[in-house]
Amino acid sequence: MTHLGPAATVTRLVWPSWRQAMVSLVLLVALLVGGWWRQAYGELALFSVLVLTAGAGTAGLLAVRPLLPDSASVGWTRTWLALLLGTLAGAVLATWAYRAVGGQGLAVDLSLAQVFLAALGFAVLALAVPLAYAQRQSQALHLASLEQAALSAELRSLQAQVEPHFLYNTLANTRYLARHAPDKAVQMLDHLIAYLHTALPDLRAPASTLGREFELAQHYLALMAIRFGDRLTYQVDCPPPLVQTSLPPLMLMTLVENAVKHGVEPKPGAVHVGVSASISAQTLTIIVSDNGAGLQDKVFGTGVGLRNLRERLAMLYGEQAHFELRIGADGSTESVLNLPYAEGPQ
Amino acid sequence: MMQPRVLIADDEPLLLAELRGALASLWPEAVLVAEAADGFEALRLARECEPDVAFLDIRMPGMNGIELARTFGRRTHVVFVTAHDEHAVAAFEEGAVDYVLKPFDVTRLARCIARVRERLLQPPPDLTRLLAGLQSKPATPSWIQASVGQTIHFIDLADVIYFAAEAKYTRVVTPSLEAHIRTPLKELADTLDAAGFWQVHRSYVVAVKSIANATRDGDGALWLKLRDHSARLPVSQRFQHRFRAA
Repeated sequence: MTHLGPAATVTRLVWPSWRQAMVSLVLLVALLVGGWWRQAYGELALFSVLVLTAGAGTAGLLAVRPLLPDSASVGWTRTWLALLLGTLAGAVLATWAYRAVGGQGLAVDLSLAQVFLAALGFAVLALAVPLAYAQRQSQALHLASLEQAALSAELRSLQAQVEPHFLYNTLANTRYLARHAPDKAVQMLDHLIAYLHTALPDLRAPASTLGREFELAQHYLALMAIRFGDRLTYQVDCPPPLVQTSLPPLMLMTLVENAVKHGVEPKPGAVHVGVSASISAQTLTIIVSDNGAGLQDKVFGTGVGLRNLRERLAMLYGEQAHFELRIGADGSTESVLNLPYAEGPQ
Repeated sequence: MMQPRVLIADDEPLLLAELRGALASLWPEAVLVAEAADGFEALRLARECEPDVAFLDIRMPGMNGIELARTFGRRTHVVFVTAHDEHAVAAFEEGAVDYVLKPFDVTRLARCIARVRERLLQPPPDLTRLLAGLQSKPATPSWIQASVGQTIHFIDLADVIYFAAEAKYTRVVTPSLEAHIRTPLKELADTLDAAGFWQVHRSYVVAVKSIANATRDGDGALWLKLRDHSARLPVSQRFQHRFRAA
Protein backbone atom coordinates (compact mmCIF):
# COMPACT_ATOMS: atom_id res chain seq x y z
CA MET A 1 0.00 0.00 0.00
CA THR A 2 1.31 3.42 -0.78
CA HIS A 3 0.81 6.11 1.83
CA LEU A 4 -2.41 8.13 1.72
CA GLY A 5 -2.15 11.74 0.70
CA PRO A 6 -4.88 14.26 1.65
CA ALA A 7 -6.93 13.39 -1.44
CA ALA A 8 -7.23 9.72 -0.55
CA THR A 9 -7.73 10.59 3.10
CA VAL A 10 -10.64 12.91 2.30
CA THR A 11 -12.25 10.26 0.13
CA ARG A 12 -11.87 7.66 2.84
CA LEU A 13 -13.15 10.02 5.53
CA VAL A 14 -16.27 11.55 3.97
CA TRP A 15 -17.26 9.38 1.02
CA PRO A 16 -19.52 6.71 2.51
CA SER A 17 -20.10 3.25 1.16
CA TRP A 18 -23.72 2.46 0.10
CA ARG A 19 -24.30 0.58 3.28
CA GLN A 20 -23.04 3.41 5.50
CA ALA A 21 -25.14 5.91 3.52
CA MET A 22 -28.31 3.79 3.91
CA VAL A 23 -27.80 3.21 7.63
CA SER A 24 -27.14 6.91 8.24
CA LEU A 25 -30.20 7.89 6.24
CA VAL A 26 -32.45 5.46 8.12
CA LEU A 27 -31.12 6.70 11.49
CA LEU A 28 -31.57 10.32 10.47
CA VAL A 29 -35.17 9.74 9.34
CA ALA A 30 -35.91 7.76 12.54
CA LEU A 31 -34.56 10.58 14.69
CA LEU A 32 -36.57 13.20 12.80
CA VAL A 33 -39.78 11.19 12.95
CA GLY A 34 -39.20 10.33 16.63
CA GLY A 35 -38.52 13.97 17.51
CA TRP A 36 -41.59 15.12 15.60
CA TRP A 37 -43.77 12.54 17.28
CA ARG A 38 -42.55 13.47 20.79
CA GLN A 39 -43.05 17.10 19.76
CA ALA A 40 -39.46 17.89 20.84
CA TYR A 41 -39.25 20.61 18.21
CA GLY A 42 -36.58 22.62 20.00
CA GLU A 43 -34.18 19.65 20.26
CA LEU A 44 -34.99 18.74 16.68
CA ALA A 45 -34.08 22.23 15.48
CA LEU A 46 -30.80 22.14 17.42
CA PHE A 47 -30.03 18.71 16.01
CA SER A 48 -30.65 20.00 12.51
CA VAL A 49 -28.19 22.83 13.15
CA LEU A 50 -25.49 20.30 14.08
CA VAL A 51 -26.18 18.09 11.08
CA LEU A 52 -26.28 21.05 8.74
CA THR A 53 -22.93 22.37 10.00
CA ALA A 54 -21.21 19.00 9.73
CA GLY A 55 -22.82 18.54 6.33
CA ALA A 56 -21.46 21.89 5.15
CA GLY A 57 -17.97 20.95 6.42
CA THR A 58 -18.24 17.68 4.50
CA ALA A 59 -19.36 19.55 1.42
CA GLY A 60 -16.28 21.79 1.77
CA LEU A 61 -14.03 18.72 1.83
CA LEU A 62 -15.78 17.19 -1.16
CA ALA A 63 -15.49 20.45 -3.03
CA VAL A 64 -11.74 20.65 -2.51
CA ARG A 65 -11.20 16.97 -3.29
CA PRO A 66 -10.87 17.44 -7.10
CA LEU A 67 -8.28 20.18 -6.51
CA LEU A 68 -5.92 17.83 -4.66
CA PRO A 69 -3.21 15.90 -6.47
CA ASP A 70 -3.98 12.22 -6.45
CA SER A 71 -0.96 10.53 -4.99
CA ALA A 72 1.24 13.20 -3.45
CA SER A 73 1.24 14.07 0.22
CA VAL A 74 0.86 17.80 -0.42
CA GLY A 75 -2.38 19.76 -0.07
CA TRP A 76 -3.09 19.41 3.63
CA THR A 77 -3.37 23.19 4.05
CA ARG A 78 -5.97 23.40 1.28
CA THR A 79 -7.89 20.54 2.85
CA TRP A 80 -8.01 22.19 6.26
CA LEU A 81 -8.97 25.54 4.74
CA ALA A 82 -11.86 23.93 2.86
CA LEU A 83 -13.08 22.21 6.02
CA LEU A 84 -12.84 25.46 7.99
CA LEU A 85 -14.70 27.51 5.38
CA GLY A 86 -17.39 24.86 4.87
CA THR A 87 -17.94 24.46 8.60
CA LEU A 88 -18.02 28.20 9.32
CA ALA A 89 -20.43 28.85 6.47
CA GLY A 90 -22.61 25.94 7.61
CA ALA A 91 -22.60 27.10 11.23
CA VAL A 92 -23.49 30.70 10.33
CA LEU A 93 -26.22 29.57 7.98
CA ALA A 94 -27.65 27.03 10.41
CA THR A 95 -27.59 29.50 13.31
CA TRP A 96 -29.38 32.07 11.16
CA ALA A 97 -32.03 29.49 10.23
CA TYR A 98 -32.32 28.50 13.91
CA ARG A 99 -33.03 32.12 14.81
CA ALA A 100 -35.71 32.20 12.16
CA VAL A 101 -37.53 29.13 13.54
CA GLY A 102 -36.74 30.22 17.11
CA GLY A 103 -38.93 33.25 16.48
CA GLN A 104 -41.85 30.81 16.19
CA GLY A 105 -41.23 29.36 19.64
CA LEU A 106 -39.48 26.24 18.41
CA ALA A 107 -36.33 26.77 20.44
CA VAL A 108 -34.62 25.29 23.51
CA ASP A 109 -33.25 27.61 26.12
CA LEU A 110 -29.94 28.49 24.45
CA SER A 111 -28.50 31.76 23.23
CA LEU A 112 -27.60 32.03 19.56
CA ALA A 113 -23.90 32.19 20.48
CA GLN A 114 -24.27 28.89 22.34
CA VAL A 115 -25.98 27.32 19.34
CA PHE A 116 -23.23 28.58 17.04
CA LEU A 117 -20.50 27.21 19.33
CA ALA A 118 -22.28 23.88 19.71
CA ALA A 119 -22.47 23.60 15.92
CA LEU A 120 -18.77 24.34 15.58
CA GLY A 121 -17.88 21.94 18.42
CA PHE A 122 -19.85 19.16 16.82
CA ALA A 123 -18.09 19.71 13.48
CA VAL A 124 -14.70 19.61 15.20
CA LEU A 125 -15.55 16.28 16.85
CA ALA A 126 -17.12 14.75 13.77
CA LEU A 127 -14.69 15.95 11.10
CA ALA A 128 -11.62 17.80 12.37
CA VAL A 129 -10.51 15.18 14.90
CA PRO A 130 -10.71 12.26 12.43
CA LEU A 131 -9.00 14.35 9.76
CA ALA A 132 -6.16 15.32 12.12
CA TYR A 133 -5.76 11.69 13.11
CA ALA A 134 -5.69 10.58 9.47
CA GLN A 135 -3.16 13.28 8.65
CA ARG A 136 -0.83 12.12 11.40
CA GLN A 137 -1.12 8.53 10.28
CA SER A 138 -0.55 9.47 6.68
CA GLN A 139 2.54 11.46 7.51
CA ALA A 140 3.94 8.65 9.64
CA LEU A 141 3.39 6.26 6.75
CA HIS A 142 5.00 8.70 4.38
CA LEU A 143 8.03 8.88 6.66
CA ALA A 144 8.22 5.12 6.91
CA SER A 145 8.13 4.78 3.14
CA LEU A 146 10.94 7.33 2.87
CA GLU A 147 12.99 5.36 5.37
CA GLN A 148 12.40 2.21 3.41
CA ALA A 149 13.54 3.92 0.24
CA ALA A 150 16.69 5.11 2.00
CA LEU A 151 17.41 1.59 3.22
CA SER A 152 17.01 0.01 -0.16
CA ALA A 153 19.21 2.70 -1.65
CA GLU A 154 21.85 1.86 0.89
CA LEU A 155 21.52 -1.79 0.04
CA ARG A 156 21.99 -1.02 -3.63
CA SER A 157 25.13 0.97 -2.93
CA LEU A 158 26.36 -1.89 -0.77
CA GLN A 159 25.85 -4.26 -3.63
CA ALA A 160 27.65 -2.27 -6.26
CA GLN A 161 31.08 -1.62 -4.87
CA VAL A 162 33.78 -2.93 -7.11
CA GLU A 163 36.99 -1.26 -6.12
CA PRO A 164 38.73 0.24 -9.12
CA HIS A 165 42.05 -0.82 -7.66
CA PHE A 166 40.89 -4.44 -7.62
CA LEU A 167 39.46 -4.28 -11.12
CA TYR A 168 42.48 -2.68 -12.81
CA ASN A 169 44.97 -4.96 -11.10
CA THR A 170 42.94 -8.00 -12.06
CA LEU A 171 42.69 -6.83 -15.66
CA ALA A 172 46.43 -6.18 -15.76
CA ASN A 173 47.02 -9.77 -14.63
CA THR A 174 44.55 -11.09 -17.17
CA ARG A 175 46.26 -9.21 -19.98
CA TYR A 176 49.62 -10.67 -19.05
CA LEU A 177 48.14 -14.17 -18.97
CA ALA A 178 46.36 -13.66 -22.28
CA ARG A 179 49.78 -13.17 -23.85
CA HIS A 180 51.73 -15.82 -22.00
CA ALA A 181 49.23 -18.44 -20.80
CA PRO A 182 45.92 -18.04 -22.63
CA ASP A 183 44.26 -20.99 -20.86
CA LYS A 184 44.92 -19.43 -17.48
CA ALA A 185 43.68 -16.11 -18.78
CA VAL A 186 40.35 -17.71 -19.65
CA GLN A 187 40.16 -19.26 -16.17
CA MET A 188 40.86 -15.91 -14.61
CA LEU A 189 38.21 -14.20 -16.72
CA ASP A 190 35.69 -16.85 -15.64
CA HIS A 191 36.44 -16.11 -12.00
CA LEU A 192 36.21 -12.38 -12.65
CA ILE A 193 32.86 -12.72 -14.40
CA ALA A 194 31.48 -14.78 -11.51
CA TYR A 195 32.78 -12.19 -9.07
CA LEU A 196 31.21 -9.33 -11.00
CA HIS A 197 27.90 -11.18 -10.86
CA THR A 198 28.04 -10.90 -7.08
CA ALA A 199 29.13 -7.32 -7.05
CA LEU A 200 26.30 -6.35 -9.39
CA PRO A 201 23.68 -8.85 -8.26
CA ASP A 202 20.07 -9.19 -9.23
CA LEU A 203 18.16 -7.00 -6.82
CA ARG A 204 14.93 -8.85 -7.50
CA ALA A 205 16.44 -11.83 -5.71
CA PRO A 206 17.55 -10.46 -2.34
CA ALA A 207 18.14 -13.93 -0.88
CA SER A 208 20.98 -16.20 -1.88
CA THR A 209 22.07 -19.59 -0.62
CA LEU A 210 25.05 -20.70 1.37
CA GLY A 211 26.13 -22.85 -1.56
CA ARG A 212 26.06 -19.96 -3.98
CA GLU A 213 27.81 -17.53 -1.65
CA PHE A 214 30.56 -20.06 -0.92
CA GLU A 215 31.00 -20.63 -4.63
CA LEU A 216 31.40 -16.93 -5.17
CA ALA A 217 33.90 -16.67 -2.33
CA GLN A 218 35.77 -19.48 -4.03
CA HIS A 219 35.85 -17.56 -7.33
CA TYR A 220 37.14 -14.45 -5.61
CA LEU A 221 39.86 -16.33 -3.75
CA ALA A 222 40.86 -18.23 -6.89
CA LEU A 223 41.27 -14.91 -8.64
CA MET A 224 43.34 -13.47 -5.81
CA ALA A 225 45.46 -16.63 -5.71
CA ILE A 226 46.35 -16.12 -9.37
CA ARG A 227 47.23 -12.51 -8.61
CA PHE A 228 49.29 -13.13 -5.50
CA GLY A 229 50.85 -16.35 -6.75
CA ASP A 230 52.11 -18.98 -4.32
CA ARG A 231 51.85 -16.80 -1.29
CA LEU A 232 48.04 -17.08 -1.04
CA THR A 233 46.43 -20.44 -0.30
CA TYR A 234 42.80 -20.94 0.61
CA GLN A 235 40.19 -23.48 1.56
CA VAL A 236 36.45 -23.00 1.13
CA ASP A 237 34.26 -25.71 2.69
CA CYS A 238 30.50 -25.65 2.44
CA PRO A 239 29.06 -28.71 4.24
CA PRO A 240 26.81 -30.44 1.63
CA PRO A 241 23.67 -30.43 3.86
CA LEU A 242 23.89 -26.64 4.10
CA VAL A 243 24.15 -25.89 0.40
CA GLN A 244 20.48 -24.88 0.13
CA THR A 245 20.40 -22.84 3.33
CA SER A 246 19.39 -19.29 2.56
CA LEU A 247 21.83 -16.48 3.20
CA PRO A 248 21.62 -12.76 2.38
CA PRO A 249 23.87 -11.95 -0.58
CA LEU A 250 27.33 -10.43 -0.19
CA MET A 251 27.71 -10.82 3.57
CA LEU A 252 30.23 -13.62 3.18
CA MET A 253 31.92 -11.68 0.37
CA THR A 254 32.43 -8.69 2.69
CA LEU A 255 34.20 -10.92 5.20
CA VAL A 256 36.37 -12.63 2.59
CA GLU A 257 37.33 -9.33 0.98
CA ASN A 258 38.23 -7.98 4.41
CA ALA A 259 40.43 -10.99 5.10
CA VAL A 260 42.28 -10.39 1.83
CA LYS A 261 42.53 -6.63 2.26
CA HIS A 262 43.56 -6.53 5.92
CA GLY A 263 45.10 -9.98 6.32
CA VAL A 264 46.75 -10.95 3.03
CA GLU A 265 47.62 -7.68 1.30
CA PRO A 266 49.61 -6.05 4.13
CA LYS A 267 51.60 -9.14 5.11
CA PRO A 268 54.71 -10.21 3.20
CA GLY A 269 54.98 -13.97 2.69
CA ALA A 270 52.57 -16.89 2.70
CA VAL A 271 49.02 -16.43 3.99
CA HIS A 272 46.17 -18.91 4.25
CA VAL A 273 42.47 -17.98 4.15
CA GLY A 274 39.80 -20.45 5.31
CA VAL A 275 36.02 -20.23 4.91
CA SER A 276 33.77 -22.68 6.77
CA ALA A 277 30.23 -23.08 8.07
CA SER A 278 28.57 -25.16 10.78
CA ILE A 279 25.27 -25.57 12.61
CA SER A 280 24.71 -25.88 16.30
CA ALA A 281 21.61 -25.25 18.38
CA GLN A 282 19.56 -23.42 15.74
CA THR A 283 22.51 -21.21 14.88
CA LEU A 284 24.35 -21.08 11.59
CA THR A 285 27.97 -20.08 12.16
CA ILE A 286 30.16 -18.91 9.32
CA ILE A 287 33.85 -18.35 9.97
CA VAL A 288 36.37 -16.64 7.73
CA SER A 289 39.89 -16.96 9.09
CA ASP A 290 43.29 -15.79 7.94
CA ASN A 291 46.78 -16.02 9.39
CA GLY A 292 47.87 -12.75 7.79
CA ALA A 293 48.70 -9.34 9.20
CA GLY A 294 46.38 -9.81 12.17
CA LEU A 295 44.70 -7.28 14.36
CA GLN A 296 48.00 -5.80 15.56
CA ASP A 297 48.07 -3.12 18.18
CA LYS A 298 46.15 -0.50 16.35
CA VAL A 299 43.25 1.03 18.18
CA PHE A 300 41.27 2.64 15.35
CA GLY A 301 39.86 1.24 12.14
CA THR A 302 38.20 3.06 9.28
CA GLY A 303 36.43 0.32 7.34
CA VAL A 304 32.78 0.88 6.64
CA GLY A 305 32.31 -2.71 5.43
CA LEU A 306 31.81 -4.12 8.91
CA ARG A 307 29.52 -1.30 9.97
CA ASN A 308 27.36 -1.89 6.89
CA LEU A 309 27.35 -5.59 7.66
CA ARG A 310 26.19 -4.98 11.22
CA GLU A 311 23.45 -2.64 10.02
CA ARG A 312 22.21 -5.17 7.51
CA LEU A 313 22.20 -7.90 10.15
CA ALA A 314 20.20 -5.71 12.52
CA MET A 315 17.78 -4.87 9.74
CA LEU A 316 17.24 -8.47 8.69
CA TYR A 317 17.47 -10.38 11.97
CA GLY A 318 17.26 -7.87 14.81
CA GLU A 319 18.87 -9.28 17.93
CA GLN A 320 19.00 -12.82 16.57
CA ALA A 321 22.18 -12.41 14.55
CA HIS A 322 25.57 -11.18 15.53
CA PHE A 323 29.01 -10.69 14.19
CA GLU A 324 32.40 -10.56 15.84
CA LEU A 325 36.06 -10.45 14.99
CA ARG A 326 38.30 -12.40 17.28
CA ILE A 327 41.70 -13.99 17.56
CA GLY A 328 41.47 -17.73 17.05
CA ALA A 329 43.20 -20.42 19.09
CA ASP A 330 46.09 -20.60 16.61
CA GLY A 331 46.54 -16.83 16.54
CA SER A 332 44.66 -16.34 13.27
CA THR A 333 42.13 -13.59 12.75
CA GLU A 334 38.57 -14.91 12.65
CA SER A 335 35.43 -13.14 11.44
CA VAL A 336 32.49 -14.99 12.94
CA LEU A 337 28.94 -14.57 11.70
CA ASN A 338 26.11 -16.17 13.69
CA LEU A 339 22.67 -16.31 12.08
CA PRO A 340 19.42 -17.93 13.22
CA TYR A 341 18.92 -21.26 11.47
CA ALA A 342 15.72 -23.17 10.88
CA GLU A 343 15.84 -26.86 9.87
CA GLY A 344 15.56 -27.74 6.19
CA PRO A 345 15.75 -25.64 3.06
CA GLN A 346 14.02 -22.30 3.62
CA MET B 1 75.09 7.21 -18.05
CA MET B 2 75.16 4.26 -20.42
CA GLN B 3 73.68 1.44 -18.42
CA PRO B 4 71.15 2.62 -15.86
CA ARG B 5 70.49 0.22 -13.00
CA VAL B 6 66.82 -0.49 -12.38
CA LEU B 7 64.84 -1.92 -9.44
CA ILE B 8 61.24 -3.06 -9.82
CA ALA B 9 58.82 -3.89 -7.01
CA ASP B 10 55.28 -5.29 -7.12
CA ASP B 11 53.59 -7.85 -4.89
CA GLU B 12 51.79 -9.48 -7.80
CA PRO B 13 54.20 -11.83 -9.61
CA LEU B 14 52.50 -11.62 -13.00
CA LEU B 15 52.56 -7.84 -12.96
CA LEU B 16 56.21 -7.92 -11.99
CA ALA B 17 56.84 -10.23 -14.95
CA GLU B 18 54.91 -7.94 -17.26
CA LEU B 19 56.90 -4.90 -16.16
CA ARG B 20 60.15 -6.83 -16.54
CA GLY B 21 59.19 -7.82 -20.10
CA ALA B 22 58.06 -4.32 -21.07
CA LEU B 23 61.25 -2.72 -19.73
CA ALA B 24 63.39 -5.27 -21.59
CA SER B 25 61.80 -4.38 -24.90
CA LEU B 26 61.33 -0.62 -24.43
CA TRP B 27 64.58 0.13 -22.63
CA PRO B 28 67.12 -2.52 -23.68
CA GLU B 29 70.19 -0.71 -22.32
CA ALA B 30 68.78 -0.67 -18.76
CA VAL B 31 70.05 -3.35 -16.40
CA LEU B 32 67.53 -4.93 -14.07
CA VAL B 33 69.48 -5.25 -10.82
CA ALA B 34 66.70 -6.15 -8.40
CA GLU B 35 63.12 -7.43 -8.22
CA ALA B 36 61.12 -7.24 -5.01
CA ALA B 37 57.76 -8.76 -4.06
CA ASP B 38 57.13 -6.59 -1.00
CA GLY B 39 58.15 -3.31 0.57
CA PHE B 40 60.72 -4.69 3.01
CA GLU B 41 62.45 -6.71 0.33
CA ALA B 42 62.54 -3.65 -1.92
CA LEU B 43 64.08 -1.58 0.88
CA ARG B 44 66.81 -4.16 1.50
CA LEU B 45 67.57 -4.60 -2.22
CA ALA B 46 67.63 -0.85 -2.84
CA ARG B 47 70.22 -0.39 -0.07
CA GLU B 48 72.26 -3.25 -1.48
CA CYS B 49 72.11 -2.38 -5.17
CA GLU B 50 71.76 1.42 -5.13
CA PRO B 51 69.62 1.54 -8.32
CA ASP B 52 69.39 4.65 -10.49
CA VAL B 53 65.71 4.13 -11.17
CA ALA B 54 62.99 2.33 -9.20
CA PHE B 55 59.56 1.35 -10.53
CA LEU B 56 57.42 0.93 -7.42
CA ASP B 57 53.94 -0.41 -6.90
CA ILE B 58 52.18 1.75 -4.30
CA ARG B 59 50.15 -0.84 -2.40
CA MET B 60 52.59 -3.47 -1.19
CA PRO B 61 52.84 -5.64 1.90
CA GLY B 62 55.20 -4.53 4.63
CA MET B 63 55.98 -1.05 3.40
CA ASN B 64 54.11 0.84 0.73
CA GLY B 65 55.69 2.45 -2.33
CA ILE B 66 55.42 5.98 -0.97
CA GLU B 67 57.11 5.14 2.33
CA LEU B 68 59.76 3.31 0.36
CA ALA B 69 60.41 6.25 -1.98
CA ARG B 70 61.01 8.45 1.07
CA THR B 71 63.95 6.32 2.11
CA PHE B 72 65.63 6.85 -1.26
CA GLY B 73 66.53 10.47 -0.69
CA ARG B 74 68.35 11.94 -3.68
CA ARG B 75 69.89 8.74 -4.89
CA THR B 76 67.21 7.05 -7.01
CA HIS B 77 64.65 8.30 -9.55
CA VAL B 78 61.20 6.97 -8.75
CA VAL B 79 58.36 5.97 -11.05
CA PHE B 80 55.17 4.82 -9.35
CA VAL B 81 53.23 2.02 -10.97
CA THR B 82 49.73 1.98 -9.60
CA ALA B 83 46.35 0.56 -10.46
CA HIS B 84 44.28 3.37 -9.08
CA ASP B 85 45.15 6.03 -6.63
CA GLU B 86 43.48 9.31 -7.28
CA HIS B 87 45.50 11.39 -4.77
CA ALA B 88 48.74 10.07 -6.07
CA VAL B 89 47.82 10.66 -9.67
CA ALA B 90 46.76 14.23 -8.95
CA ALA B 91 50.05 14.97 -7.23
CA PHE B 92 52.18 13.33 -9.91
CA GLU B 93 50.57 15.58 -12.49
CA GLU B 94 52.76 18.26 -10.91
CA GLY B 95 55.59 16.59 -12.76
CA ALA B 96 58.05 15.97 -9.96
CA VAL B 97 57.79 12.19 -10.16
CA ASP B 98 56.42 10.10 -12.94
CA TYR B 99 53.76 7.46 -12.69
CA VAL B 100 52.27 4.72 -14.83
CA LEU B 101 48.76 3.38 -14.42
CA LYS B 102 48.11 -0.35 -14.46
CA PRO B 103 47.22 -2.06 -16.69
CA PHE B 104 49.80 0.09 -18.44
CA ASP B 105 49.63 1.39 -21.91
CA VAL B 106 52.84 0.67 -23.83
CA THR B 107 53.10 4.12 -25.40
CA ARG B 108 52.57 5.72 -21.98
CA LEU B 109 55.32 3.55 -20.52
CA ALA B 110 57.63 4.42 -23.42
CA ARG B 111 57.04 8.13 -22.85
CA CYS B 112 57.72 7.67 -19.17
CA ILE B 113 61.00 5.89 -19.93
CA ALA B 114 62.03 8.67 -22.31
CA ARG B 115 61.42 11.22 -19.57
CA VAL B 116 63.35 9.18 -17.03
CA ARG B 117 66.31 8.87 -19.43
CA GLU B 118 66.43 12.63 -19.78
CA ARG B 119 66.32 13.08 -16.05
CA LEU B 120 69.03 10.54 -15.42
CA LEU B 121 71.50 13.22 -16.49
CA GLN B 122 70.59 15.18 -13.36
CA PRO B 123 70.40 14.01 -9.77
CA PRO B 124 66.89 12.95 -8.69
CA PRO B 125 64.74 15.68 -7.16
CA ASP B 126 64.16 15.60 -3.44
CA LEU B 127 60.74 14.03 -3.13
CA THR B 128 60.32 14.39 0.59
CA ARG B 129 57.93 17.30 0.46
CA LEU B 130 55.87 15.98 -2.39
CA LEU B 131 55.64 12.56 -0.80
CA ALA B 132 54.62 14.03 2.53
CA GLY B 133 51.65 15.56 0.69
CA LEU B 134 50.87 12.22 -0.92
CA GLN B 135 50.64 10.28 2.29
CA SER B 136 46.92 10.64 2.53
CA LYS B 137 45.49 11.94 5.77
CA PRO B 138 44.18 9.19 8.00
CA ALA B 139 40.45 8.89 7.43
CA THR B 140 38.02 9.40 10.28
CA PRO B 141 37.94 6.16 12.24
CA SER B 142 34.69 4.24 12.39
CA TRP B 143 35.51 1.53 14.92
CA ILE B 144 37.90 0.76 17.72
CA GLN B 145 39.53 -2.38 18.94
CA ALA B 146 39.25 -2.90 22.70
CA SER B 147 39.45 -5.83 25.07
CA VAL B 148 37.11 -7.26 27.66
CA GLY B 149 39.16 -9.74 29.65
CA GLN B 150 40.90 -11.92 27.07
CA THR B 151 38.49 -11.18 24.22
CA ILE B 152 39.07 -8.45 21.69
CA HIS B 153 35.95 -6.57 20.67
CA PHE B 154 35.42 -4.44 17.64
CA ILE B 155 33.30 -1.57 18.79
CA ASP B 156 31.55 0.73 16.38
CA LEU B 157 32.47 4.29 17.38
CA ALA B 158 28.81 5.19 16.84
CA ASP B 159 27.97 2.95 19.84
CA VAL B 160 30.47 4.55 22.22
CA ILE B 161 29.02 6.88 24.86
CA TYR B 162 32.26 8.00 26.48
CA PHE B 163 35.93 7.22 27.11
CA ALA B 164 37.40 7.46 30.58
CA ALA B 165 41.09 7.64 31.47
CA GLU B 166 42.26 4.97 33.90
CA ALA B 167 45.97 4.85 34.77
CA LYS B 168 47.65 3.33 31.72
CA TYR B 169 44.37 2.30 30.13
CA THR B 170 41.37 3.92 28.58
CA ARG B 171 37.93 2.57 29.45
CA VAL B 172 35.40 2.50 26.60
CA VAL B 173 31.74 2.67 27.60
CA THR B 174 28.83 1.68 25.34
CA PRO B 175 25.21 0.99 26.33
CA SER B 176 25.93 -2.74 26.44
CA LEU B 177 29.55 -3.15 27.51
CA GLU B 178 32.69 -1.68 29.00
CA ALA B 179 36.05 -2.50 27.44
CA HIS B 180 39.64 -1.35 27.75
CA ILE B 181 42.20 0.02 25.33
CA ARG B 182 45.88 -0.10 26.19
CA THR B 183 46.44 3.44 24.96
CA PRO B 184 46.21 6.48 27.24
CA LEU B 185 43.25 8.75 26.61
CA LYS B 186 45.39 11.76 25.74
CA GLU B 187 46.83 9.93 22.73
CA LEU B 188 43.34 9.19 21.44
CA ALA B 189 41.78 12.59 22.02
CA ASP B 190 42.81 14.25 18.75
CA THR B 191 41.56 11.40 16.59
CA LEU B 192 38.32 11.23 18.57
CA ASP B 193 37.81 14.95 18.17
CA ALA B 194 37.41 14.41 14.44
CA ALA B 195 34.93 11.61 15.04
CA GLY B 196 32.27 13.54 16.94
CA PHE B 197 33.70 13.35 20.47
CA TRP B 198 34.44 16.17 22.89
CA GLN B 199 36.96 16.21 25.64
CA VAL B 200 35.12 17.57 28.66
CA HIS B 201 37.63 16.75 31.38
CA ARG B 202 41.20 15.50 31.71
CA SER B 203 39.73 12.03 32.22
CA TYR B 204 36.65 12.07 29.98
CA VAL B 205 35.96 12.25 26.27
CA VAL B 206 32.27 12.02 25.48
CA ALA B 207 30.24 11.43 22.30
CA VAL B 208 28.54 14.72 21.51
CA LYS B 209 25.37 12.92 20.44
CA SER B 210 25.16 11.17 23.83
CA ILE B 211 25.03 14.38 25.86
CA ALA B 212 21.49 14.84 27.17
CA ASN B 213 22.11 18.07 29.09
CA ALA B 214 24.58 20.02 31.19
CA THR B 215 23.58 21.34 34.60
CA ARG B 216 25.31 23.35 37.28
CA ASP B 217 25.14 22.08 40.85
CA GLY B 218 25.00 24.20 43.99
CA ASP B 219 28.79 24.65 44.03
CA GLY B 220 28.83 25.91 40.46
CA ALA B 221 30.39 22.74 39.02
CA LEU B 222 29.10 21.67 35.61
CA TRP B 223 27.84 18.09 35.13
CA LEU B 224 26.74 16.22 32.03
CA LYS B 225 23.77 13.90 31.95
CA LEU B 226 23.98 11.26 29.24
CA ARG B 227 21.52 9.49 27.03
CA ASP B 228 21.41 5.69 27.40
CA HIS B 229 23.68 5.73 30.43
CA SER B 230 23.30 6.61 34.09
CA ALA B 231 26.79 8.05 34.62
CA ARG B 232 27.17 11.78 35.28
CA LEU B 233 30.41 13.25 33.99
CA PRO B 234 32.10 16.37 35.33
CA VAL B 235 33.08 19.16 32.94
CA SER B 236 36.30 20.81 33.99
CA GLN B 237 36.81 24.58 33.87
CA ARG B 238 38.98 24.32 30.77
CA PHE B 239 36.21 22.81 28.67
CA GLN B 240 33.19 24.66 30.00
CA HIS B 241 33.22 27.15 27.12
CA ARG B 242 31.66 24.42 25.00
CA PHE B 243 28.51 24.52 27.10
CA ARG B 244 27.90 28.26 27.25
CA ALA B 245 24.37 28.97 26.14
CA ALA B 246 24.35 30.58 22.73
